[in-house]
Amino acid sequence: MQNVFESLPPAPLADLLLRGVCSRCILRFFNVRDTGLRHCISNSSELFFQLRPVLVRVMGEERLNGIQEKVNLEQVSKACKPDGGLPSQTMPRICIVCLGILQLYLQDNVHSADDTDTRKSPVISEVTKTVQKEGHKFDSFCLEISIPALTFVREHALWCYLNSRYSSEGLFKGADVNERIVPLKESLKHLLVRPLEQLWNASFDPNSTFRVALFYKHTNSSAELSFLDGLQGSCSKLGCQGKSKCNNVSKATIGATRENLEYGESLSFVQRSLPSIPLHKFSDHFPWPPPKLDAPCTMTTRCFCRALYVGGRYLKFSRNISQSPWMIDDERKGKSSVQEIIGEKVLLLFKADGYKFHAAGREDIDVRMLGNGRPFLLEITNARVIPTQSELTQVEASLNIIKGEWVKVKGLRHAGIEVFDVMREGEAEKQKEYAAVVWLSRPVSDADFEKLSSLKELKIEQKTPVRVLHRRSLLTRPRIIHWMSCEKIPGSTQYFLLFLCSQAGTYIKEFVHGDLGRTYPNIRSLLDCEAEIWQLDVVGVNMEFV
Amino acid sequence: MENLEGTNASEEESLESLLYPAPHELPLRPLPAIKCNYTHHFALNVMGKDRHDQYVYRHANGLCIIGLAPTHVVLHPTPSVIGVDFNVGKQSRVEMKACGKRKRNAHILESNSVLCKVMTSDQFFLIRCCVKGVLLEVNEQLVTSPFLLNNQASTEGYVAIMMPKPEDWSKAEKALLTREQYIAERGLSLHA
Repeated sequence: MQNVFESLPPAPLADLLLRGVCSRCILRFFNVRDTGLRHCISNSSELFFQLRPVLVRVMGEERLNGIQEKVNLEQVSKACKPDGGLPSQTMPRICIVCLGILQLYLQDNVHSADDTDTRKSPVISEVTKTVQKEGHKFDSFCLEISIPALTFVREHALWCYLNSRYSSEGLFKGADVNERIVPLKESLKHLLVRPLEQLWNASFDPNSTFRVALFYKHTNSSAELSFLDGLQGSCSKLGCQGKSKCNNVSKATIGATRENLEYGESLSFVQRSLPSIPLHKFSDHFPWPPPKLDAPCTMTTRCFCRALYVGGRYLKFSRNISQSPWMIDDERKGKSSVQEIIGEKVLLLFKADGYKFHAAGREDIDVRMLGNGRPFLLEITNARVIPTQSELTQVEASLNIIKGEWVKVKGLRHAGIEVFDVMREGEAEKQKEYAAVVWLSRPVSDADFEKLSSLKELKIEQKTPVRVLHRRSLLTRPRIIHWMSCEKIPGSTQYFLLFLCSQAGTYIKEFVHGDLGRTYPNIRSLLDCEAEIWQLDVVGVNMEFV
Repeated sequence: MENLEGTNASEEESLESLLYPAPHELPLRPLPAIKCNYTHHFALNVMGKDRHDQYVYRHANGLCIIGLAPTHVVLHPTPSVIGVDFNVGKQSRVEMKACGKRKRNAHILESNSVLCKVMTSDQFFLIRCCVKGVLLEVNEQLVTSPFLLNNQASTEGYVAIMMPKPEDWSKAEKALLTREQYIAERGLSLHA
């Protein structure tokens, strides 16, 4: 492994080592993506002593000592502590660039000289503990890493120094550090992925639904980033936020505010604004060598499963169950809901935290959903297990045999997020079929049936029904009744069964009674008598679904 | 109503049987939509004028339909409306509509604000809001078909839709009569 280092330009290598840049960051700065990276000693002082004979041989003792003295001098003057002595005492233990993130053994202040075996590192065990505690079952995973913005600033500061010192030798040229070095996150993933794969017997997959998040934080962040407040132009955004908050909150919360910023927009903000400072001016803003570190980054972990989707169609045989829980002034309307009856069962199967219910449209509480059923999609949040299709089918069967249960499910299966669009489209565009029991103020005649069934693609104008006008805007919507057909109800003279197929979004009850003439034409106006709707059922939602 | 349970018979058959109600369960006449979805309230002698009777039908969602009661002097004993004019006050009531979900541009009218002018061949009568609230809609049909007031005043011949605040409604409700009180007060038969 040491060979990699022996092939690097000796002067900057020695310089970096003596300044306390960890071996992994050194390789990053030389743009080396080496798969053996995991197995090298990270600590710069250890590595320096191992490499010293080689460095002496290549560049001569005199030049090496010169570099060492210069570095010592800078660091001593900086720390105002004139106790030069051996390099191992002045050389920082924590990498000045990655703040210890790539020195996996530094976590929890556990330090081992031998950190070549990353599998035993506290980072790996910490992450594994989190995953075990949450109890997810998975065969692939993805890492989501969040690092302090400070690491970008320090990378930039180091790059500025290297550029000024070595660009004449053809090294570290170019203004944009991000394009020249291996990103910290990439190196960290590199270190963690293989050991985790082996330990968890799962494969790393950027598209995996199982996400393991690592949050790195550093206490120096807010203090060291404060220089950004003073910058003008593109940096004013952060400055404004910082200042306006400073004015009316206590000092303690300012730190917290900045820490919050660190995880979100400010990270990309810092990355964007750093190139706006010319390389040779950067040290005016941020000191070189950078401030001494007393502690490495702290790390917290979290793991979760991305939303999973289960689709199917539901039928509702009750006129007392709504699609979603319906609360009016904390009082429940209806005895249960389709959403809860299906959702709670599926939730248990996935051992999930929660679910959201989406359906292709909805029917009123007093309307049954019959026929081929209405497509729905359950969005399952943070599932611990992903059941097999046969397990889903079992749940479907168990839902359907509950005695006295008014909700049935068909075709329960795993679905992709793309089904969402299919369903939204179904809600807005697909035809719906209904069966309505209609009463007329006079006996029903064959002429009525002929009249209604002769109307094809009937255009109607529907003003927002009074019953929903409190929450929807007042509009006149054109709608189409594609066809109607009528059946006698044996034993009744003034009632008949009206089958009709309409465009999505048509209010059927209003089409029958007219809603004070606000839906026109309507059954009342078409048959020239009073008409009322006794009951309504949805008998078909005409769409292909999963 | 839940008489028909999903059976184990073939789906087609069970669907058929579900859709057909048992005739003995059907009422002779179902409650009309205007009765089962609204509570009925009446204001008699509005603004102290004899027989200026109006109704306020309140939906469960709080919206109120305003219109002429059957005993209003233009309808009783002889319906004699020949015109309706919404050009009252500073702005035509037709223009005064609130728009959007949030009811932007909403005009709050007082309970004694005028909604429209109803004309007969020799007189006119002012119709009032009866409740304080946002005017959502006036029935523009009445401009072209004023006779709707003569024969269907309680449905297609409604005058306006108002949205009172809950607290304003509670106040207004106290001043209004229930249907039973109205019938008793005007000495009507029950089917009025």
